[in-house]
Amino acid sequence: MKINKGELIVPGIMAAFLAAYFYQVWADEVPADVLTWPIYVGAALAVCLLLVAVLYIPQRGEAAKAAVNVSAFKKPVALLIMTAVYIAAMNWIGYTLGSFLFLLVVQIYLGSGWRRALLVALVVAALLHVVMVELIGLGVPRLTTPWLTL
Amino acid sequence: MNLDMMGQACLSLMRPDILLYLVAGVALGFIIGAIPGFNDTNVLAMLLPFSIYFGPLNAVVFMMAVFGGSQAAGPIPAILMNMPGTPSAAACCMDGYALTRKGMAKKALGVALMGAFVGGILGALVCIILGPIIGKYALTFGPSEMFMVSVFGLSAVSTLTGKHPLKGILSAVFGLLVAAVGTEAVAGYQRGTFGFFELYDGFPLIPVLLGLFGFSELFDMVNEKSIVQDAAQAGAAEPCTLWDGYRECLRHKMTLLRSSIIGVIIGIIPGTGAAIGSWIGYGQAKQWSKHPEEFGNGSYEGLAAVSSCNNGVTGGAIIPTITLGIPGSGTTLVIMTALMINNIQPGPSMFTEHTLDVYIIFLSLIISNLLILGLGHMTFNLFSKTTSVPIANLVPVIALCSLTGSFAARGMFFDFGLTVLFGLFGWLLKKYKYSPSAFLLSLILGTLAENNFIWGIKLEGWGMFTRPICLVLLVVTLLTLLVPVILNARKKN
Repeated sequence: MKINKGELIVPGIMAAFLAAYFYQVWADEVPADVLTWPIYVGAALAVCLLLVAVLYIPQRGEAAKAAVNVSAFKKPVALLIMTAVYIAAMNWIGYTLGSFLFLLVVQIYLGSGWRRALLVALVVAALLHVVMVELIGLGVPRLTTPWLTL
Repeated sequence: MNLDMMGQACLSLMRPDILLYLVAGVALGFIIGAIPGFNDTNVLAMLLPFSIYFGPLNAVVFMMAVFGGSQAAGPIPAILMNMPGTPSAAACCMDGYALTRKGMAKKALGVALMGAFVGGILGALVCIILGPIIGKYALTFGPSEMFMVSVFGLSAVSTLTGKHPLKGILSAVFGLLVAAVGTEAVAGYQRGTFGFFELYDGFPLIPVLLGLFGFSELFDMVNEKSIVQDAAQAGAAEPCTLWDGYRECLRHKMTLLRSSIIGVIIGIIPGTGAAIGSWIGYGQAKQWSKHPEEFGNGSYEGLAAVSSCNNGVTGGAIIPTITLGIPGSGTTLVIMTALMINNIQPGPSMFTEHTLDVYIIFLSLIISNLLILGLGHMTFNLFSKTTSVPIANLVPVIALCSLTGSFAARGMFFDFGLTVLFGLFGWLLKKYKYSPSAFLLSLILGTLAENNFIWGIKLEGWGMFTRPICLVLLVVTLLTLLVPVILNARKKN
């Protein structure tokens, strides 16, 4: 029997979360009466997962044999990586500078001209700094140097 | 209803200072509602200390205007960028964004604005005419009744499952499990937090929302050139205006009336709020629509239902706050606090000791909704221009707004990661034909359902379902699920 690999992803995530949830409450010795509702929901989830597994995972028909367009994943994965780098780098370079660089790099990667990308990055980063950091006082990481705090 | 007092209240509302507070409130509400991650409750809480300088009446009128303005503006980013400005606007994403993709953004914004106006006015009228009477019934809602309200809300899942009902139901059930993460309400045990203290209160709604709807859309947008994709397909080459949207919205009179009433009722019930009401209104609109197949693909009727329901909540929420001293929502809790800081005790005595002030507050709802329509007409046009911005410039800006909005909600770094994680999860749900909407609805209602189910069982056992209001809600739920199915089956025969 051929398996529709793509259809495994979402049920797999749900099943993994279900298992992790009940493993954690079992390891923490949470009393059963506190778990009344999650047990009912977990049981319903298990039944639904089983039905989806039976109906959707086995490959059926011509449509299921369609090739996956790998190139369509290139930009989404790149966006994900750039976002992760931005979040990770924020603690060192601060929110404002990090946002400016994120905007600049992503725009250029997606095909914007560098002049427009630079202008948009400058304006948006400056606006966010003024509104979020200075006016509202959001507690974002800030770049502190002997000369200025950004 | 005291007509003499109402006349005096009308005259008092014409004072320049009150009008100024109304205009400022609506304008601030628009800004809060249009920026994802900003919560009117949080912003009003920050302004609370200044209410002493405003005076109690001006403070309440201002805060109600902010409330109404934020509900009206929440659909703007939802329609234009699939990123709800307020949790209650999430239901606008499905149809509003689909209309933007067809090049009908202005018309969609017009529908949302007119829907907000109609819902707000109807809510205000119910408030004025029936407020003191209806307010008493809010007290009769105990845990059993609240559980049935959440069941009624969850019945809207049946309208959100799309062409794959089983996948939709699976999404909803998974949402219920995710809602069960956090500190258990009765005994205080941690469930599913995996050692993260940031999850002690469960998954925070705003980062999840921004991830599921805003960030997830970016993974598809990066492969496109423009937001507007289907204009040629929909034959929507002619430019449309806000006026087209107003006319389109007013064509769906029954939907507007039904959704506004649902919004008012949801607003009256303490502890619910517009986030729940909007999904119930949407689900009901789809159930009773003559064209349910259009919902989720760019239905003006669906959009009108959500926006009228959202603003109907603002009128409903003030009723128990003023008449009983029980806040109908987080925002009205802040409003109630503003009154108490100024030595006015909300509750039944407010009608006898501050009658004129009560009528001024109720009538100000009508003025603020007129201002919402006027200011909205002037500003919504500007927002629609974002659809002509190239994707290469728009995507990183939307990503940044989503991430900043998610951080702004709690000020926790953890929420950046949550937004990205749920963005990825939302993208996978859409790609494999699951239902992010059903998941979100269950996430919102899950905690309400669980807590009230547990308390209801402890207090009354399984007899909780035999209480009169519970039985009525159960019958209404079954009717709203079955009647449209029966009517459709008869039509086909």
